[in-house]
Amino acid sequence: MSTIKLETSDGVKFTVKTQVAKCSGTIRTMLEDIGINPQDGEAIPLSNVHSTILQKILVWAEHHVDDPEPPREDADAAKRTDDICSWDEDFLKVDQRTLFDVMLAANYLDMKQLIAVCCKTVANMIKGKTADQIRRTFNIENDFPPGEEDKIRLRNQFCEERSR
Amino acid sequence: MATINDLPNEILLHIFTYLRWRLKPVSCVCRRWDCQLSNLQVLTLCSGIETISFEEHDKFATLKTCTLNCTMNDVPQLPVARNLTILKPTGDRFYARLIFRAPNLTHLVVEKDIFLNSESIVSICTGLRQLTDLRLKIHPKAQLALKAFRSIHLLKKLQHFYISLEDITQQRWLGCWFKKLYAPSVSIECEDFKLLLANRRTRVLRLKRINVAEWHRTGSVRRETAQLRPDLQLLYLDPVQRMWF
Repeated sequence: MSTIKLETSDGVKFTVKTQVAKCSGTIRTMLEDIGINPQDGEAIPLSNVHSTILQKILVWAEHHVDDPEPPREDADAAKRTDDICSWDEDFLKVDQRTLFDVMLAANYLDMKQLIAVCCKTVANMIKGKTADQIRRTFNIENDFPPGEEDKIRLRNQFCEERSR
Repeated sequence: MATINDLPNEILLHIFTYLRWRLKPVSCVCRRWDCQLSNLQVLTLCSGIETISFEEHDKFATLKTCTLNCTMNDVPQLPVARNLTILKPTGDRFYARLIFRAPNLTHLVVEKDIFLNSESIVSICTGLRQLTDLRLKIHPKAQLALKAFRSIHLLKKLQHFYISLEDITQQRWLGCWFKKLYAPSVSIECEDFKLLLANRRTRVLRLKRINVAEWHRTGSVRRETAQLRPDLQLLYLDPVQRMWF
């Protein structure tokens, strides 16, 4: 069983099955295109990923390593958020900071399936909430100047008011 | 440690595409979200059982791909939209307006919309000459006149064409009409496949419901096709209606 070493931003080294590591498009590119040879024992530097987050991401990759290639996303297809598997749901029951760190790392590592499931999770956290509730949920500052928010609300009125 | 606003724009947009129709509260959260929403390029409008009423000034300025999975009376402004899928009934003269409000469409899919009639198809084909992909599933109650079919010949950039129409084989002019179709890739339900082999432009042909699902006949269909059209690159035979497009 072939393995490779990954080194995170805080200097922690992980020995990972090559197949699992290749769930990351970034690592796959490093191995296949740039020509980093894992047999040399050289660790692949992941300078944007902290060890605690990589550890979590590796758990996800290990679980999904044998998943079939996802079908090419159909732009016309309705985007669903109710199709997250229960394992992923449990996996993403984490505090928000960890969730967003996982998303940033998954983005850096080019792990499309993980990004998609994280985005669905966040979308589910937003759905059905008012702007105020969304701000409170994510601790977002309302930076609109006075009156601006009302203008936007008016501009986008058709998004909801007429949908009856 | 990251917060939601540390996510890059493309991920924020990715999240927004999952929110479908209920975008208004999102636009009011903060300046960045409002700004990003104005960059949304893919959106499915879905309202469940509700009817969405658009007005002329309703505009999705950056949408490139739009799926209208809702009942509506009108079409919003879609100035840069390239792909439009209409999955629910629209409204009277909807398509006459569509050609002005989404003038840059290249891909159009309409599924069983009772308002897609002969006039609508003529509007589409005269107003959206740049269409490269046209997929029409005609409502069983819609009666299409020959002028509707003739107007499809105006689409000289058409690459993929799909039509589902009951009794299409009964149309006496079908073979003659098909011969003039520009699309090299055609998907059609037709019992008399020989009619469809007469168009030498066609390189990819998907025939559906051959002789009403006589799957055992596909061997002979293939043999006859190979004799008549040895240049045909791909021939798909769907014995039953397993897929729409």
